[in-house]
Amino acid sequence: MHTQYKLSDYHNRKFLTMKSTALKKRKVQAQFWVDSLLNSYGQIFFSKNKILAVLVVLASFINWHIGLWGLLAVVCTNVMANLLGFSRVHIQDGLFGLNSVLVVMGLAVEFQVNSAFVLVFFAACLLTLLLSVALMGYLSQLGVPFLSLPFLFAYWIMKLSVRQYDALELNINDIYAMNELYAFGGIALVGLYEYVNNMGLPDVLESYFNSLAAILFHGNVITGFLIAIALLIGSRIAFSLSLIGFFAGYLFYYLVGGDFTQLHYSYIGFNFILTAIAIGGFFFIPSWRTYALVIIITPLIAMLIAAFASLLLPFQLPVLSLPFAVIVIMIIYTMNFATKPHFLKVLNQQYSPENNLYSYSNYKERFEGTTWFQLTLPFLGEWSVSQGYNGKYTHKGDWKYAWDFVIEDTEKNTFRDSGTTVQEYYCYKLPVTAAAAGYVVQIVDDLPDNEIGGVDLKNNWGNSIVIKHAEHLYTQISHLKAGSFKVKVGDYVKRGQQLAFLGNSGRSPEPHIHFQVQATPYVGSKTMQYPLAYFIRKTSKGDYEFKRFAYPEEGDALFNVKISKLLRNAFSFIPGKIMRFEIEGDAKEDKKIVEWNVYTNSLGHTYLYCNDSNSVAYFHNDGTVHYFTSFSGDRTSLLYYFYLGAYKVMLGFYKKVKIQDVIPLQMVDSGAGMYLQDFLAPFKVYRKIDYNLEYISVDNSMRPAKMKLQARVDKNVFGNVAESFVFDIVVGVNNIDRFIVQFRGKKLIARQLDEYVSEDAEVFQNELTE
Amino acid sequence: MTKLRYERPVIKTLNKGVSNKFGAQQGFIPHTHIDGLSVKELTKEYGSPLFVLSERTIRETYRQAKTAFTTRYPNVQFAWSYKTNYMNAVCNVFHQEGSWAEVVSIFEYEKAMRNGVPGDKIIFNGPDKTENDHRIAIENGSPIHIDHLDELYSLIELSEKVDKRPRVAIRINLDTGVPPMWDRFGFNYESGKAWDAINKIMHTDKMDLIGLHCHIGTFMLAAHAYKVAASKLADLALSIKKTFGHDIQYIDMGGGFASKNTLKGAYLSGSDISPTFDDYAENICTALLNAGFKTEELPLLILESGRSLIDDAGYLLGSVLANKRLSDGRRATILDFGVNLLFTSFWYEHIISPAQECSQYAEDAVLYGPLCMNIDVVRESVKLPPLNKGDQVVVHRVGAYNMTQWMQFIALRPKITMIDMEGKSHLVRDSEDLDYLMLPERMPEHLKDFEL
Repeated sequence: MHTQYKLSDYHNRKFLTMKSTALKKRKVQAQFWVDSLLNSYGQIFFSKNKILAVLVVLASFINWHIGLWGLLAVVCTNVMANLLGFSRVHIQDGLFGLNSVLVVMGLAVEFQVNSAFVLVFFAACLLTLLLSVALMGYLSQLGVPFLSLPFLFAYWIMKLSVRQYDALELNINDIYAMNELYAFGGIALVGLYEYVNNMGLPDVLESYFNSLAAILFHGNVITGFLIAIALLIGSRIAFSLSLIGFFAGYLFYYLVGGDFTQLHYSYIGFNFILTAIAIGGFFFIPSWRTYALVIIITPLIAMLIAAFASLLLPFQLPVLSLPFAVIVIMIIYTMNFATKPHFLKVLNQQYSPENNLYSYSNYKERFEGTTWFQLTLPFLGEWSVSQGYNGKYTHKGDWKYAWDFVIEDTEKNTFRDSGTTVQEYYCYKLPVTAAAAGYVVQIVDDLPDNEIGGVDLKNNWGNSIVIKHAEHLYTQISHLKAGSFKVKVGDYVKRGQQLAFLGNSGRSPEPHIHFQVQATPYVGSKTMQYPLAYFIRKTSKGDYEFKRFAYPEEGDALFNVKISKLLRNAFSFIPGKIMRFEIEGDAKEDKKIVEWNVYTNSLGHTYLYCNDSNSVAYFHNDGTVHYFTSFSGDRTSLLYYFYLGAYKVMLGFYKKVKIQDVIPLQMVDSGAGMYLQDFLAPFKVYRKIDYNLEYISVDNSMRPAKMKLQARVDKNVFGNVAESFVFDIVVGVNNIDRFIVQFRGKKLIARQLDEYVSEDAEVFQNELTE
Repeated sequence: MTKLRYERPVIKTLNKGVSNKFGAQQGFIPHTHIDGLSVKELTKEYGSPLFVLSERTIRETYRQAKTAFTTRYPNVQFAWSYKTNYMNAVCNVFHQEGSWAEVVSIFEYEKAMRNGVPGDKIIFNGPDKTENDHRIAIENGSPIHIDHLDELYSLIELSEKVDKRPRVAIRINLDTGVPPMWDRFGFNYESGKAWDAINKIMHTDKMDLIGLHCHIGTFMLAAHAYKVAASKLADLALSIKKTFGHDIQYIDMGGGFASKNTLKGAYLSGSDISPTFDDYAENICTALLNAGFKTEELPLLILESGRSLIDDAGYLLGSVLANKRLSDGRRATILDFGVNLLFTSFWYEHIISPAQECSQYAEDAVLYGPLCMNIDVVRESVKLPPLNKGDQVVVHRVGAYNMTQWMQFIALRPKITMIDMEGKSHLVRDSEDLDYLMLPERMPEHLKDFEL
C-alpha cells in the first residue's frame, strides 16, 4: 500500500529535493569538466578509463613543458567548444580535446615559449577544434571516425605557416632533456632516467616504449613505459594488440630489410600500435579474425609510411599518424560493403574492447527488437500454427510469409465429432482481433462459407480485413465469416480489439485464421517477413517459452502475453519519480535509506540514479519487458543489485515461464581471473554470467496485491557455477515492495518506504553518459 | 467356428425407415469397450454393477470448454462443482487441469482443502453455512457467496470477532425470460433486493465485496438466457463501480450448462438440441465484453459447470438378473442396478447399450432395477435387443450427480474405476461392505441381546 505522508513532511521533502538538486547540478558540472579533460587524453588510446587517462597525463609531464602546454590545450579547446555551443556530450567525451592536445604538444616540442607562441597556441586550439567539428560532421555521414585527421591537418597547417613568423624561436630545451627532467622530477627522476637508459633494454622493447612515447612527442622510455602500463590497465585487449601490432611491424621491417631506423628514430612505429588497437579491438568486436587482420595489414602500414614520407618530404612535413588514420578509415569504410559479416562492427561503443566483446553477444538479441513495430497474435486464447512460413500447402512464392492458425485438442484434432460440418471445428466463429493499433483500410465481407473440404479458388482470401499500422506496414486476416465484421473501413482499431468472427470463406477447406504482414494495402498483397513482438509458446513438455520478435513455426501452440497490472505498475519508472528504500543488512543496526531518482537524458534514454552511491542504471521498458541496459557506479550499492536482479523482467505473470539472459561479463566479473579472461577473450570466452528469472507466487489471482519473483545470477567458469546471487523481488500494488539480495552467505533486505513524482517543474536532466 | 449366440425370437410391428419422430433408434450398437478396455473384463475384475470414469473424456471435455471461453474472453476460471461428482480422483483431474473448487457444504469444503486446493480458490456457495463454516472460510480467504439476508447479518456479526475481512460475493437471481425462474437462491435483481444487499455490504464496510454470482437454472437448453444474465450482472458491477468506486473482481456465471443427455419428455434427443460450449461462451463473453468495462477492469469470469464437464465421462456397467413378461405382454428386464445407483434416471432417458454382440432386432422393454420397490424403474420404455440372464449393459453419460446422490438402500454401493490416459484402469472407490455400513452405528446396551 501507499505510504501516506503528512503535509509538512511533504514540504520538507520538497525543500530537501530542491536543495539536493542544486547540489547535484554543481556536482555534475564539475564532473563534466573533469571528464572532458581526462577523456581528451584517454581518447588518444581509444579509452575513457580514468586511470589510463591520469597515467597518460603523468607520462606527458615527464617533459613538463610539453605536458603543461598539452594540458592547457585541452582546457582551452574544451572551453572554446563550450562557448561556441558544440555538443556537451562530445566535449565530455573528449572528442575535441583529443586532437588539440596532440597539435599543441607538437608545437611545444618545437618552439620556445614567448608571447608569439601563446598567440599561436590559441590559433592552434581554435583551428583544431573547427577542423574536428568539420571532419566529424563530414565523416560521420560516411560512418567513419575522424581519428587524428584534425590533428594532422592542423599540425601541418601550423607548421607550414609558422615558418614565416620570426617571433617564434626554436626550442632548444629538448636537446638538454636532463634539464627538463630535473625541473619536473628533481634528481630522483634524472636518476631513474639514467638507470632506465643504462638498463640495457632489448632494442625491440626500447623501440616499443619509444614508439608509445612518440605519440605524445616524447623521446624517452619512461614515458613509453607509463603509457604501456596505462594501456594494460585500460584494456588487456588493447595492450596485447599494441604489442602484436608493433612486433608485426618490427618483423616486417626485419624480413624485408627495410629501413628500420624509421622506426627507431622517428618512432613512427606507433602507427602499427594505434592501427592494431583500432582495427583489432576498438571499431570491430575483437576476435581471432580481427587479430589476423591486424597482422595481414602490417605491410600496408609500412608501405603507407614510406609512401607518405616521400610524398611529404618536399614540404618538410612529418608523416606522423597519417598512415594509421588512412588505413583505419579505409578498412572501416570498406567493411560496410562486405556481404558476409566476418568483422562485426561495434554497435554500442563502450570505449573498451573487452566490454564491447562481452556485451555484443546479447546486445543484438536484446535490442534488435526495438526497431520492429510491435505486432501480436490476432486472437484470444491458445491456438496452434497449422501452416507457417514457406508452408507445404499454400504459403509459397510471394505469399510465403504467412501463418495459419487453428485450435487443436489433445488428439491434435481441429474438430469434435466427425468434423463434417464447419460448426464442429473448434475455431469456427471465434473472434479475431487486431494485431496492433491501426486504421482499417479494406474489408471483404460478402463471401459464403465453404463446406468442409471445399475451396473457393476464385476468391482465394475469402472475407478479409486489412489494417494499416504504419507506412508500408499492413496486416491482413482472412477466411472470416460474412456479416460478422464489427468494424468498418476507416475505423481506428486498438490492439486486441475484436474485428470479426472466423468463418470458412475463400481458399479454406476447413476453418482457420490466415494472417500475414504486407507492405501494400490490398487483400492478397505480397507478404513480408516480419516477426511477432511477443508471445508465449507451449513446449512439448508443457512448459511455456517466452518468445520475442520471433516467428511462430508450424506445430507451435501459442498465446499472447497477458500483462499483469501489478508488474506493469511496479516497473513503470516514469522520469521524475523518486523511490526511497530502507536497507537492512545482516547486522540490524546498519539500517540505511537510499533514494533513487528516475531521469531521462537528451537522447531519451531513461535511467535510475542513486545519489547516495552516485550510481546509474539505464533501463528500457517497451510495455512488455523491462530491461536494464547498463550500469555504472558503485558495485556494492542497492542499485547495482537491482540492476542484476531485474535485468530482464517480462511483465506478465506465468509460473511456467522462465526468463533467461546473459549479463555482460564486465558487469559482474572482477579480479585476476577476469584479467586473464580479457587477454584470451578474442579467442575464447569461458566465463559467463547467466541470468534466470522465475515467477514464484501470487497472493490472489483475481486482483493480485502481491507477487513474488526470483532471479538468479550465476557466474560460470567453464560451464560450472562459481558464484551465485539470488534476488527476491516482491511486488506490491503500485511498487516494488521488497527486494532481497542473497550472495556469499550475506543477506540484504530493502523495503520501499515510499515513492512519489517530483513536483519540481524543471525535472532535472543531466548528461551522464553510459 | 464359435458357437453362435442364442437370441430368442421376437415379434414386433414393422418400422419404416430408420428414424421416426422420436429421433434415431438407439441401443442397437453394442458398446463392448470403454477407452480400449473390454466391458466384460472390467466387470470380471471389479464386479457388477460398476461405475467407470474416463480420465481422457474428462480432460478433453474440460479443454474444449476452456478453449471455448478463453478464445473469447481474456480472464476465465473454472471452478469444479464438487456436488456434481466429488470423487477425489475426479476432483484432482479437474484441479490438475487448472480448475478451482466450488462447494456447497462444509464437508465438501473440507474435502477440497484435503485435496490440496488453496483456500482462496474454494468458492463457498449454498444456503446452509453455519457460523463455524463462515469462520473457517474467512480464515482461509475463501470467497463466500451470500445467499440470504440472514447469512449477511450473521457475517456482519462474525466480522467483528475475526481479524480478517471476509471476502464475499452475493448470489443474485434474475429473470432471463426462461422459466422456471430460480428465485429461491440469492437476492432478486429485478425487485431491487440485490441492490439492497449490495448497499448493505458496501455501507457496513465489514467485508470485501469481490464478486457477483448467479446460477440461472439447470440443464439450460437456451444459451441466450446466459446473455441476459451476464449483462444484468455486468450492469450491477458497473453500478457498484459508479456508486462506490469499487471494482468487482469476478463475475461467477454458475453452471447449468446442459449435457447431451435426453430429458424425460423431451421431443428430440439431447445430443441434437443441447447447446455447445461455444454457444454458451459466445453469449456470456459477448455480453461481458459489450457491457462497458475498461479492458483493464474486465472482471474474471468464473464458471462452475459440473454436469456438462463430467456427464460424458461416466459409464455404469450392469448385468441382467432376469427377464419376464408383464401382464400387458411387454418384456421386462431386471438389472442389478436401479434408481439406488442411477438417481438421474428420474430425469433422463439414459442411453443403454448392450455390451455384447447382438442382432438388430429390438423389442420394447421395461428396465427394472433390483430393488424391492415399485419405483425402481431405470427406463419405462426402451428398445433393446433381447438380453439373456448374465448379459451386460452399459449406461452412458452418468458422470454427473449419480456418484454423489446414489443411495445405500437395499443394496450397497459398488466400486468405481477410472481409466487413465494410457488405458489402464484404477480403482478410485471400493465397494461398500457391511462393516462400512455398520461403522457409525451404535447399539444401546439393553438392545444388545435377544433370544428367539
